[in-house]
Amino acid sequence: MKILFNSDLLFATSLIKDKLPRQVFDFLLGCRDKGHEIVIPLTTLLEFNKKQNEFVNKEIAALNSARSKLTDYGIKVEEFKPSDLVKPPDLIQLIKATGISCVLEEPTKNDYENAHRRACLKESPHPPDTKSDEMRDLVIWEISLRVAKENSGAILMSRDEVHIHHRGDKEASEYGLIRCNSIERAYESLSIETVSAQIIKKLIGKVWNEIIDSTLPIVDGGQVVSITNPIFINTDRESSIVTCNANFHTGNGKELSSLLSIEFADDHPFVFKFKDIKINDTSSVEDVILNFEKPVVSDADLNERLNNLKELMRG
Amino acid sequence: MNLNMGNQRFENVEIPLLWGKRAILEDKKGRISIISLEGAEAVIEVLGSKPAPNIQYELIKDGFKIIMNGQELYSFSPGGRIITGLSLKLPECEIQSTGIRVGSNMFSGNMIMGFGVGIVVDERGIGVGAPLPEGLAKLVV
Repeated sequence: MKILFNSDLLFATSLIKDKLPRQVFDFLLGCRDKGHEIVIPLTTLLEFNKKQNEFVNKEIAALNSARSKLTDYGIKVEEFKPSDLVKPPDLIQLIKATGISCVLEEPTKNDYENAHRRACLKESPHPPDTKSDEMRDLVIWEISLRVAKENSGAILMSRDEVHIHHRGDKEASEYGLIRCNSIERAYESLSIETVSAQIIKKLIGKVWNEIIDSTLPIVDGGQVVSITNPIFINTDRESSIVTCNANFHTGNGKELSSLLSIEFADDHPFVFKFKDIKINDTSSVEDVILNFEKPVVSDADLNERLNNLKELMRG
Repeated sequence: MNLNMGNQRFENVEIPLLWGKRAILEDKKGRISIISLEGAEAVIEVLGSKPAPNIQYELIKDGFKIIMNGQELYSFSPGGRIITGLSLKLPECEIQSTGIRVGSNMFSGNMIMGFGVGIVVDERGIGVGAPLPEGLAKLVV
């Protein structure tokens, strides 16, 4: 799969020296292991370079200022050229350094013309109610659609509203363009298991026999297919609740999807709520709630952390 | 407030490290708390290096990311004590035992006294010793 990046998901909020930000680096390693490829639209590269050059200039100014200050105090500073010490990063090379294939994709004349038309006529996915032309975003959109069309699908990594808004749903679907607004959603789209999914699968595994024995239409031989969009919340009673979309093979040739919430403490799940249950995309089953023995938990840890913080603020 | 954090001494400061509109504090056990001062009242988002109660988050490699209204705000790695802006466009902040790293800048061995904010980080840059910005909730828990 080709994976395109908008600049906002490269996390370049400070000068990148010899390595990409950790999340991006780990993601690229995961993609490399699965044989995916990275595509950097020229527009993304230009935006990335512009930001990095600003950081480079600030760093050079800081070095010059430090030299002046030291000289003012009579401290001898060896001759050096700040611009030799601080260099802007080469994005494509940094990506390739992870071992993944990466290409720079320049917009075609057709991409420019289409983006221009969308900007002028405020056509989808351009927001209808903004003054900004967002031409850059539309060029990336055009490149993404083209790359998706040429490769029977692609992923666009972006948090930009122009790219992820539902205005673009129909067109993205037609071209097989999957839009991911975070690294984790991209992992899910690429069937690379997220940390959260691993933990949720473990929780489900602990009561799997009880799930099979419940009124849920899952039988022996069934299994968890995917866990997506997890959201965790810690309660103030030393337990956590995670809500996610869960998909299962039922063990008798069907697919079951559900909005699943699990309450657990110390890795022991004690409440499972299966809501909005669909079998082969058809709603046909009532919500199922499974309760298990609640482990004994203490709120000592939470209180200790809170008291420590309060003490700190009094100090 | 008087405290040691990231090999700096903060004395008589109201907020030792302000990252955007979030106060960052290190307790005596080296655990990090992150408190949002964006709204009318302070909201603890990270308490002693763990997600605070009633805050939405997602587990990721090496830590978790804080989510609000469907937006991923930032991630926190308890092991590395690293705060990384996601939808918050702020430089990465790392509280090391030897210093505080903000983006590519390192603060180490400073004593910062008598300021509203010890170290202030926003989208435009970084400053040491600044008045308390207007419009922030009072830092009380």
